[in-house]
Amino acid sequence: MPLEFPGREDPLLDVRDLFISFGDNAAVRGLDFTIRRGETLALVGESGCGKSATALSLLRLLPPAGRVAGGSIRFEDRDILRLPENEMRRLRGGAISMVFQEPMTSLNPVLPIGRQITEAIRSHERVSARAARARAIELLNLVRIPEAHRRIDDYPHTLSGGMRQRVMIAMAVACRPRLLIADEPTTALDVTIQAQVLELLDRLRQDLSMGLLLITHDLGLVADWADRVVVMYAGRKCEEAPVETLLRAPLHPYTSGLMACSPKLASGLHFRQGRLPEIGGSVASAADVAGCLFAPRCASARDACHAVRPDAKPAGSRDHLLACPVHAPADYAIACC
Amino acid sequence: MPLLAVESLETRYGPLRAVDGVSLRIEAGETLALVGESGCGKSTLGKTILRLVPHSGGTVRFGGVDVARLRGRTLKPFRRRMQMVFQDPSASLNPRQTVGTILSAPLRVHGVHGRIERRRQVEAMADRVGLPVGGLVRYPHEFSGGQRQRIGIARALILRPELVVCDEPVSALDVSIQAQILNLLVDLKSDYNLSYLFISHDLGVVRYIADRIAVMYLGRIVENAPHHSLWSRPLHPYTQGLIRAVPGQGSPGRPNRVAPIAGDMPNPLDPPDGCRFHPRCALAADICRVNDPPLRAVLPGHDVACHFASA
Ligand SMILES: Nc1ncnc2c1ncn2[C@@H]1O[C@H](COP(=O)(O)OP(=O)(O)OP(=O)(O)O)[C@@H](O)[C@H]1O
Ligand SMILES: Nc1ncnc2c1ncn2[C@@H]1O[C@H](COP(=O)(O)OP(=O)(O)O)[C@@H](O)[C@H]1O
Ligand code: SF4
Ligand code: SF4
Ligand SMILES: [Mg+2]
Ligand SMILES: [Mg+2]
Repeated sequence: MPLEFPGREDPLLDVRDLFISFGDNAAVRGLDFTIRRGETLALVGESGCGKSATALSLLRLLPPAGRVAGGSIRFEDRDILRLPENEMRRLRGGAISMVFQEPMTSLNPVLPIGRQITEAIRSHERVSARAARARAIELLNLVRIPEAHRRIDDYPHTLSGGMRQRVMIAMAVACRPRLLIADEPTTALDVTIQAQVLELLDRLRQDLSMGLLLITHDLGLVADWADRVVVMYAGRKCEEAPVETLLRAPLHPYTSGLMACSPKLASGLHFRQGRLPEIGGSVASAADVAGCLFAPRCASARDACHAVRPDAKPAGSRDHLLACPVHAPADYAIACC
Repeated sequence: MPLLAVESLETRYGPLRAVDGVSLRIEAGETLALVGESGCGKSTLGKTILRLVPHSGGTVRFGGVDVARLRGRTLKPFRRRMQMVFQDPSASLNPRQTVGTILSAPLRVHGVHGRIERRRQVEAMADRVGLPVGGLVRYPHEFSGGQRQRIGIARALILRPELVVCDEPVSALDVSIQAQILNLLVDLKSDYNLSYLFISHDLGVVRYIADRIAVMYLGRIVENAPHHSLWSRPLHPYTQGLIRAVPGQGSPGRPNRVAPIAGDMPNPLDPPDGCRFHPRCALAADICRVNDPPLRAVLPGHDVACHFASA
């Protein structure tokens, strides 16, 4: 990639041309993105588009069936894909940390929450059990668990879903990570709790000036919390832009289709007045397509779309990338070659 | 006469009152949405109405008959008239049966005789909900999530019910598939003259689909209003908080980042005294900690359970 992207100069995380496969199934097919210090990048797309696979690859935690089949992942000055396993272990839960969608799957049900946090701390730092416990209480206070000094000895199942997710976050930030990956951190939670959790993540991002990779399928959350957005479809990036640009002027038909078809409170549309806009078909149609993966569902697809697979290139401005020549502004072709 | 009239309904799981004195009505052809946080009792209420879980008090009148008291042979015709669509289409479909078998089973159970007639009805319904031709000989796992929900809908509609309880029917689906299924539900509603009890926690979806909205909190209805009235003048502090909590209501460049309601839902085994919402309510006053506010009409057809709600 000879192009220069703003922020590319010294990003915290720089992912280039990433390919991930599960057997013959290509989950991610040539993905580029960067995250800067203190920035929230949202990775958006529907289920199966490769968001979690991408997230797990950053920590080299792909399940045995999956593997990175190409590309590079650079975190600060480290080449993640070439790092010795012992250094990688130190990085996980240390400089790079992750919050998962389902808190129960990542909390140990037979250990009190305090123990889980202190173990996380002590696996990365040499501190006494006493100091670790004090830190754990501090962390539980930080994530606003009421009466932290008492709840620290509670077991996960005695907490509500929202509290468990906050405990997960406390664990994830225990060693002041510089990059926090949050994979659908609120999908299992009520909207009321969702707002609390995102506010917390955002506060921690500021306080620790972490880069935050926020993975979600909810464009509303993106609008509220992201600085920049990468929209994925079937393992590829279709569009990337600062959040404001994307909301004001989405270019890719998949992005604008997604925005149009999700029923919104503000739209006020009622079924007795009209139908919801739809994106026809399903992502399954992308399985064996030669050209643009979205072509089988795209209302503006033309012959060329079925032949050539478009890459994401600057469209209009250098920080707005688009993988669709048909919906590109006039300078698109010039900017790309 | 409303199609469904629920009066003081109560459902207990041991010591827990999951539904605690709920009254509501659904008119023929109406869609009533039930919203509220996880665990507030929405699914339990829906299942109690359908007699899938036993009630411990109150009445459920369907077409004027108290179905909560019926059993056996007298209940069966009502079962046919009330059906359910579930959130997780995979979990609610038998993986070892073909779609054709799944769809014809209710017909068999309810005495639609003749293989050929059943087959004709199954094919017509499969076609109506947009399942591919030839899909009937396949198994549920061979379909995508959206297609599986179409199977779930076909199964619910095959007996031509009048009331369908849709329990989070699109929550497990991708946004692009959600819109397809919501449009399908709307079309089917007018084709078959259905009434829906539509359970959802997604207010965007509810805004589109509901004629009337009932807001539930800890086993109780705290607000019940026609859609225009609810969206323009939500009166209960909990409803107001739920609406503010929906993400994406800012404008580009001016994101909306308020955390609107503090705290978690209290333990349902030990609900707070007075107004059950008072520990989380910014407006709570002394009276709220003592007196439980009744649901009362504040605007025409718009009921609210809050001491301070006024028109
Ligand atoms: N079979 C059961 N046995 C005991 N308690 C139950 C059972 N099913 C539900 N409950 C409890 O009853 C209450 C209401 O649950 P219900 O499933 O009706 O809530 P809901 O509003 O549908 O929640 P969600 O949005 O998570 O689906 C909760 O406290 C729940 O834990
Ligand atoms: N453990 C696994 N084994 C086989 N395939 C997998 C596994 N995990 C994910 N995949 C496949 O990889 C693709 C991307 O999945 P995933 O990253 O989980 O998507 P997302 O998080 O965006 O929903 C999908 O096609 C999925 O089926
Ligand atoms: S390249 Fe063609 S098929 Fe792909 S999104 Fe653009 S117009 Fe649609
Ligand atoms: S009755 Fe009191 S506590 Fe309850 S909602 Fe109204 S103001 Fe809030
Ligand atoms: Mg995922
Ligand atoms: Mg439920």
